[in-house]
Amino acid sequence: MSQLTLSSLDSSLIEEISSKRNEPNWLKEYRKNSLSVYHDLPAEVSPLYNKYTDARRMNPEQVSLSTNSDSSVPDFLAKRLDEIKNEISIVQIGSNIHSINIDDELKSKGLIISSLDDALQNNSELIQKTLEDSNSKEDKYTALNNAAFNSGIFVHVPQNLTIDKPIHLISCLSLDGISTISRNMIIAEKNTQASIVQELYAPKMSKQQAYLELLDTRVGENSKLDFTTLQIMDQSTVNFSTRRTHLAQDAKINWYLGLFGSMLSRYRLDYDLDGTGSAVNDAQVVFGNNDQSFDLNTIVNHNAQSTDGKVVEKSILKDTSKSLFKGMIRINEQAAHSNSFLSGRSILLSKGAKSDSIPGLEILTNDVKATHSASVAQMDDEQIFYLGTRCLSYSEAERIIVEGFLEPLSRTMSHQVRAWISNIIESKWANKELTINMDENLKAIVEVEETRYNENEEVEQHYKYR
Amino acid sequence: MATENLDMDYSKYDFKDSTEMYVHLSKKGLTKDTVREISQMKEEPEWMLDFRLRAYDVFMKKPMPQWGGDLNKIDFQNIYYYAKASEKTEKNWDDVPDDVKNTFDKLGIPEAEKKFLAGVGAQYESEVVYHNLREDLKKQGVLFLDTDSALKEQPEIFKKYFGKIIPPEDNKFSALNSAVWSGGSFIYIPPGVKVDMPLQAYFRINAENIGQFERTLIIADEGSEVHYIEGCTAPVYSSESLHSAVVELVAHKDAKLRYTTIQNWSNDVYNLVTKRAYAYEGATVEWIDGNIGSKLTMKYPGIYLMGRKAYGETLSIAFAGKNQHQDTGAKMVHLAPDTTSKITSKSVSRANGRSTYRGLLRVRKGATNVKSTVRCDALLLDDTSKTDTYPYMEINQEDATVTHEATVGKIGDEQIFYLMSRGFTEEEALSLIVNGFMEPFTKELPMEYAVELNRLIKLEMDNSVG
Repeated sequence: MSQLTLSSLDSSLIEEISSKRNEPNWLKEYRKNSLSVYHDLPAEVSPLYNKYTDARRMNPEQVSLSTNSDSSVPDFLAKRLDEIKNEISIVQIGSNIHSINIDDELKSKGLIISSLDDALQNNSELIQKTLEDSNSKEDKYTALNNAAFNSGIFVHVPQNLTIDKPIHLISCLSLDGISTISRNMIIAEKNTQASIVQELYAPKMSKQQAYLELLDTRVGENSKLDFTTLQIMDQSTVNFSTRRTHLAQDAKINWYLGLFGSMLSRYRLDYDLDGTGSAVNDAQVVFGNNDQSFDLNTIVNHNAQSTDGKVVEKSILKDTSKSLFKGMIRINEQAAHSNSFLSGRSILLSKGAKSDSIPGLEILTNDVKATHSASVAQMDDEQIFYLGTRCLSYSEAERIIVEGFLEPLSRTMSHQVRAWISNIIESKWANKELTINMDENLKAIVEVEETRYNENEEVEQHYKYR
Repeated sequence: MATENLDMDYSKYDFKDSTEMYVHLSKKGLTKDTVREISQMKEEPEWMLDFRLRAYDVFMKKPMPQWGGDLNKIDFQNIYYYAKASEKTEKNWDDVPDDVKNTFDKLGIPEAEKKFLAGVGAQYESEVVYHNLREDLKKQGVLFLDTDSALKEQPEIFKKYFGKIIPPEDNKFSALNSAVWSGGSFIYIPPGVKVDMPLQAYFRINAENIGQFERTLIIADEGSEVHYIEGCTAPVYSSESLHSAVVELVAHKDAKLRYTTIQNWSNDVYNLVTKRAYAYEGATVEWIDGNIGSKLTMKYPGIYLMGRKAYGETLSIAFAGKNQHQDTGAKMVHLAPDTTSKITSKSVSRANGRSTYRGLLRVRKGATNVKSTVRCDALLLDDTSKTDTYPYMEINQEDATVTHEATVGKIGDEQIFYLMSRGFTEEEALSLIVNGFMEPFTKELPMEYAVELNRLIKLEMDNSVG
């Protein structure tokens, strides 16, 4: 086993990864081609954003790569793993798949959750197609992942299957400091319904450890997918994620992204609304403190008629943290009757906090509606004063205002996600370790959240007893 | 809505004169000798020649901008950089050569002056040929000269400000202008003087392949007020002409400075303009910017808010018809506390025309209590027209309040239907709605200009209904 850093990444490591996994020749070639693209591309490909990238904060000298890594479970994760041991789940520790749990019933119905390695054996055609659809040239880190992935998660939901319980994807970096380059794929065939909850963890390390993810998602005709990501990695780590989602006719995806941990989170989300009537609803919450940095880029491509896009990003920034909000709505010629909305809002809580926004529109046809907006503001002194007259201390008032700021967004989430997010935010205010373990505190929050915003239910009950 | 792609009728501007009457026409192409020749012709002091040569070097070194419109078709060696139509700047209309007079008669300059204008400067090709200023203003110390005369007659003020706000190093086209500039307006308003009527200039390209590189410098001293208007036009030629101006404004303490441009270059002109203003303590600077003509316009008027309580406003409209690309925007740089700014941009595209808003809003650290709003509205008249919005917001100060909003839409069928029910034809209804959309802009213009603008829009809108 050889170990080297990202800065010295060359074809020999690629060769080693590939041969160790007995990969077919086409994949070996594919990795090599991607590697040369990676070396050629600048950190930011788009001329619109080349001044605005934080990708350089990742130090390639410190990110070590290897063909395998420590597979022992970090202590802080043990409790959480115990909690979900009966749920549908897959757990990734470092570059190893630690465990997979699927109901026998769902297994018999054809649900596949596996490591990418196994999928390469069993579903090679699907994998090959997904890899070939991925264009390494569009982003330097897409190329990196395609070249050097050393792990991966594969989820395949077969036609006409509705899964009631969420699928948990848990990824945690290994304790030996080796970075993970994960090539994840989620394929939901037509007429399916599923929800996925992804949790990202990392132990504390003295040097930069990275979780580099490339996630391709495909939602088939008339399917609905809910995807929630909660990133609570330690602030010594970096987290890059490049995600591309294809939506077929009448497919719908709800994407909730909560970014709280890591020193640098660089997320690039591409949505391709390829089928008529497809829709995306993307909600992003960012809470940064210390010198955390969040580099978010969301691109919604309307490629077919009557497609619907909605992206709402809200960031709360403390200390010297920084957020970059880049968004683009692109409505192509053939996408008449499309409707798109993009907004980025930031609250700056400290003098040193910083927020840049670049929301863009590229509209190539009329008969569409496209709106974007962005705002950056501080705490309103008058609101603080008002809450002060109601006997709230400054910090209490601050927290209530932030809660109100997030409220329109959290309203759209399930009560479980809402509870997790408010629990994490609470830990962040208190500078505690971020977890989503089911403890007393979280239980209390869940209880509150369960009954909140249930307007529909109220109406129904009302109707019943009338 | 079926729309026929018809060219706008430019024949009303098509009164080109032969180039034989030129007293001096430089050789085509740009070399160090051309620059020297221009400087020598104008009998300029040594420092100006050095300045031009420095700018020439910068121009040669800077790469072509790779963003915005397509600039690759500009052939810098196929352009006349200097042409002089009459021997000296005329003070009396009767002394102006007949063929020049004919052109200006068609533009209505003397009438305009008789009616209400305080001073008129008209630039024909590179040199200013006609200049006049009301007596009482002259007595108060107002200077309204062409830039060449200002260099000779007011060397002290001139040298103090010239090239200080936009140095040649700013961008490739400000360097080009600095190397070969000729003509333009120079205005100085002494402290406390309020000019109650707009000062006006008119620019015109007449010969094929002639570049026009005017240089305008306006200084409003403490507590003064001035409104400057310029109009631009050119007849139609088959090969491209280039207009690349540099406009520098300085508004000292508590001064008010408004600069209005209506640009109606014919649709084969590249219009690449650098405009920037410094607003000191308590000063107000407003750019009112209308872009109707040209093949490609790249123009982003900027305001640097240098002193406390300075206010900057940019109000712009763009109309992109067939084969036109209006890449316009605004730049606001907040360098001092308590500064406020407002950007309003409205664009209409039709028949494969493309309008782009590109803006930068920067709040520097230490600029506390800044407020800024940006609003962009785009109207697409048919399904081949395009619009883009790229706003950049860089906020480095916690207590700034910044918002951006943009919407893109088409004209509602109900609106058209309603107006048609009131007896308008479809074409009239469309034109009425577009005029209403532009209204916030037109109401800022003096009446004559508003009428002219409405007429121009109507002309552009004619035949827009198939």
